[in-house]
Amino acid sequence: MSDALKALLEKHGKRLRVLIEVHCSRDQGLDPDDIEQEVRIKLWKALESDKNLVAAASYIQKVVVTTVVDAVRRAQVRHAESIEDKDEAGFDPSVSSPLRPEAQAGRGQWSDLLLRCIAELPERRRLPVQLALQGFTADEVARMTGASVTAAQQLCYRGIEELKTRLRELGADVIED
Amino acid sequence: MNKLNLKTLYRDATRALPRDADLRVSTDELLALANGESLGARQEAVVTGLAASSEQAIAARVAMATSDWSQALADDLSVLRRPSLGERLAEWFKVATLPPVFAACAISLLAVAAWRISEPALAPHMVPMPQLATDDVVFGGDFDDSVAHNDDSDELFGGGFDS
Repeated sequence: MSDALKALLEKHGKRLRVLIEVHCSRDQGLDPDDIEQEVRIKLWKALESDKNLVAAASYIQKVVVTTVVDAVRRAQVRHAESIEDKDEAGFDPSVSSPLRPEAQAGRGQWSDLLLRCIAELPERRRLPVQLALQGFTADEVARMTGASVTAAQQLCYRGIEELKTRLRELGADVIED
Repeated sequence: MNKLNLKTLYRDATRALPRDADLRVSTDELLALANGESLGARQEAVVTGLAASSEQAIAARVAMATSDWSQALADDLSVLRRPSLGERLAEWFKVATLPPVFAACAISLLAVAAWRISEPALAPHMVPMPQLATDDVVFGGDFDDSVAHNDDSDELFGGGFDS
């Protein structure tokens, strides 16, 4: 039973790793291998400790989501700490700083500009654009907002084009989606 | 040169959870949304919350992406954990509280066996078969043929009945 369970979790773990890889970008500081392993261990422990546990799909999904949320939070803490370290390094003349404070500041400045431009978008385009920038597909945006898929595609496309135009006016040279 | 990636920039800008508590999404709400359920009055706030926080958005995207995967794993686990025939019989035996019933049956069988052993071996009584008598004649053989062979007209009350 234990060997069979282990084999089963390993088999499904591979597929989970691919899904995490596709849906969680590495620039968020998430490691699909770590998440997959953590989910596998959590499920293993739960199933081994309670032989009568009915592992419904919703239970498994909850384990995955809570694991991802924990990983995102850990990544954010690491990110915040790295910024603090960089700030400290900036004040220490003995540390050869690989950072580029101008670049860091520049990025923060562009983030602020982007948020301001989004706030200036027409209201009906704003939410679809924000959801698209968070990585949701037009189908998902349509399902969540109650719009048709075609309408969601149009609102996202036009809103993002409007953002690019505005950011170019503000000095951006190359803008990727 | 200012090279921007809108998605990266926006996700960086929305790393923190929304300040408005109403826009914070619970795991149950995320799962319901991922499974296509409507959240009623909370729908708008939840969707706005996903748009305003990259952490919540990632969790929602993962929930949506792993919906089918979770179902497939749940199905395989249910097959794997299905009890064997012996285990099911043992469980049924336990649940049906059969041990007392079997104990009662065993005691009854022992009692019957003990009685059978103590009883002397006797052949059953022979029941005499009824014998037909040779002179077994209805009415003792005194049957009057004249009654059977009466040629008189068949009249009630000897024909003296005045209607």
